[in-house]
Amino acid sequence: MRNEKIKRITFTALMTAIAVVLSFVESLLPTAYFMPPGSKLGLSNIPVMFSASKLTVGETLLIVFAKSVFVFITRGFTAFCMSLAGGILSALCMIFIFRKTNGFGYMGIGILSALCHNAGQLIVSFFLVQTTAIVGYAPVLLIASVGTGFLTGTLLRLVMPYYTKLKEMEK
Amino acid sequence: MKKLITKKDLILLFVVLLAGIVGIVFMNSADEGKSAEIIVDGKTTEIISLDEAYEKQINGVVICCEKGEIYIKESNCPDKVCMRSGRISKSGESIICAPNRVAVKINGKKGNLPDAITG
Repeated sequence: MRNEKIKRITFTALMTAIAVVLSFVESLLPTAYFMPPGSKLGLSNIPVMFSASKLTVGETLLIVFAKSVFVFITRGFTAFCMSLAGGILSALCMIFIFRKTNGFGYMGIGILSALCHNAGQLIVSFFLVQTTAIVGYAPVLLIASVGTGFLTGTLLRLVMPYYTKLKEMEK
Repeated sequence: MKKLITKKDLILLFVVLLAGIVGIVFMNSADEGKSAEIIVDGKTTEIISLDEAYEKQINGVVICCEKGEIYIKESNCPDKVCMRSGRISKSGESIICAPNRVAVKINGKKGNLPDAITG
């Protein structure tokens, strides 16, 4: 029993580490210059999506929180709020989709997750700047969500067997 | 194992793309703006005319206006989303710098009626 718990903690930590590393790697890529303002590839969403499908709700939210703390250290308070709001919203959305719905494939899950992430960010910026002018960013973010969601969804499909194998090792 | 792409995914993809394209077309069809509101912490602190050249630093953000276009020249924020937002000139368009709590929003002919354009 105790052993099982340690394995769960280890796996959660592993997913967190992957998320943080992907977040860092993404910041090194020159892609940011081609992306519409306010959007990112969201590579670190891949382990979060996996967690949403295979780990508990608490573990998944813990990964999201830890990732946001990393964002706080590297990119400051505003980015932290956006990462946390977007992360929680998209994690809850994915947990719901993985557990309660049928019919969405990896691409759809990726797109919905990206949409939720952007929605969370817009909500936070609305509270920070307190103006409805933020809606001007929405159309471009919608289109960006399709692209980034397609990318992360496809990558999740590719790494799924490996992550699952890692997860099985705990048994 | 779930599929990579399903019918539902494609429907979602087209709906989201369509919503985005409609939004962009709608925003691009707006008239050239006449004035711009500078909003700091949710309060309009200044209304400037787009016809006049302008450059001022507010909360770590340098807001510039030239040739009827507004852009952020410089900002001390980490992500520079505001600087990358480019130049805006149409009514309803806006630039936000969330870390500095600054927003610039372009208004149409009437000057100070922000929701008449976005609504």
